[in-house]
Amino acid sequence: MISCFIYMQKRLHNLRSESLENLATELDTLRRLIADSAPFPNGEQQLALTRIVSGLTVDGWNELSEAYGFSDWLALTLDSSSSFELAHLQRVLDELTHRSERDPLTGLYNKQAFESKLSMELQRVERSNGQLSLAIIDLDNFKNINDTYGHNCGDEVIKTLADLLDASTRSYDHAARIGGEEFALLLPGAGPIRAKAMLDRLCRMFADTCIKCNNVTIQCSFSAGVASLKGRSKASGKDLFEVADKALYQAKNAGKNQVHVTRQLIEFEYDRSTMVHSNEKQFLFSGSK
Amino acid sequence: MKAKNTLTISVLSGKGGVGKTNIALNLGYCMYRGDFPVMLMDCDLGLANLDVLLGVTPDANMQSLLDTDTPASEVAFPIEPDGFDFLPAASGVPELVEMDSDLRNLLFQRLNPLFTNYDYLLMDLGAGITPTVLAFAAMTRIRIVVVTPEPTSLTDSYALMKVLSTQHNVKDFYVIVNQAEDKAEETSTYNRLATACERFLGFTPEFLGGIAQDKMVPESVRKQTPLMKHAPNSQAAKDIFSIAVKLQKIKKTMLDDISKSIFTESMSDISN
Repeated sequence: MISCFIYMQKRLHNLRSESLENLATELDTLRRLIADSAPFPNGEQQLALTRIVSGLTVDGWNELSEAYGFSDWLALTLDSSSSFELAHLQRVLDELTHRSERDPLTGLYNKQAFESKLSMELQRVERSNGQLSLAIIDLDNFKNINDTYGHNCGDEVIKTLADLLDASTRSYDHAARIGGEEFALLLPGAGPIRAKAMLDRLCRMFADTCIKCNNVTIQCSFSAGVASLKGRSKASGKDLFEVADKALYQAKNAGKNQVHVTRQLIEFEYDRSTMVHSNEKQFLFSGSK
Repeated sequence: MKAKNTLTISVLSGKGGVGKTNIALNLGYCMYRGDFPVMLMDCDLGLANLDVLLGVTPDANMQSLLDTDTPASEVAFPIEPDGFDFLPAASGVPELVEMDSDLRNLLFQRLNPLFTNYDYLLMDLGAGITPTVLAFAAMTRIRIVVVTPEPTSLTDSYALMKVLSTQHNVKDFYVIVNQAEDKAEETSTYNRLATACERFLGFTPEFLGGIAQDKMVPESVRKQTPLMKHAPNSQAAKDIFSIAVKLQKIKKTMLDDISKSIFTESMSDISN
């Protein structure tokens, strides 16, 4: 199999470093997937994979390929005449991808796209031995709002919270609408303490927000459950969701409009096999059990 | 210089202050006096002290290898002429304490060509069970665990061996009992540790030797001179000499392995 990677040079804007990082992660994942699924390295079938990356320069690509070991990818520059058709195609693809990834009402990621972000961040955390927190956010008494003010106002409340999540989080956090009145927030690099502080702030801000709809002012609140993990955890995205869900349930039970953080998942991480137990210590101290 | 079959030895302990650095230095000195070129590498990265024991003030250290294009041969500091060199580490550099696998690979890529000039590479590791300590210990062909009769020294060394054996599948260790009052204490200290390993971990570390408690040791430290040079006839010096002789014998049995590569396979595959 021969793999080929094409990018287009465009001087209008430069790729931000975090999108470079994403590109690197993406290529890395792709390489692993290909390695896992290519049984006949010398087979007659050959496939070139093409992807146009606007804003990436030759120098930028060289740096990237050196830093992340992508020298086995072939990069070709495209000038504007030859690239016109391809660029159009890429735009359509981008638009489709955007649409398939986003929730139409809020513009946040949808559940599927969020899950793929989550699995990417889980890999990153494992490699970098970093931290990751997942928050599940659920609007309080949302049914009452719909029943009292109508669905339009319900949508308005949802959009307001979505805007808040989008605007008040860091650029590398991922926010998604994963259900009717349920949202998820992925916080790379944040441990339980920082995640709690961030969610507490969002919780206060949202409870203080006056939402105007049909000449009435609505105030609403949310509850959130947070799960955090660190380093080489064997936890999957599903585990993380389950733990965050439990924490959310506790937040609801404790009276809503609050954030609950669980430490449960962190315990997965300890490799108990290396722990020195008290009987071992006792033996070393006294020479007997 | 012709490439040698370099035997890599790490000196570790878990607990600090048990005489690790001093033992590494004096074992190195013995081998050098036996006409075997020795490289002594201060692997207590971030809190390096070998330079103090030696009374030297090198300009460059391993940090310079990573920061600049300083050739590895320039970082090696001669302790004695013709065959006893020292690789200083930086003190007070927190980044070095927790180097990741990339940085570690880069470091050894630069150092490996230099290492083949020596018969022995002695790596003096820091205390604790940090990823760097574990990775370095797993890399070397021989691991010497230094313990004292103190119970906390025993538990810390035991913990270190337990982590190395369960996480890195390293199960071969040599033990030096340092600062025992007499042979009986020396033996009971080793026996206790060995029996615990046998019973709970399923392997037995080998006894390499004991080094008697000796007032010449702290004196040589104060004089910033290796004990072997300062008081070659002291009991501790004689003990260290016997250990060096034993290591030379062990090396002869390992030539097949070390002629292939100076480090174990774990060099390349330890993540972080």
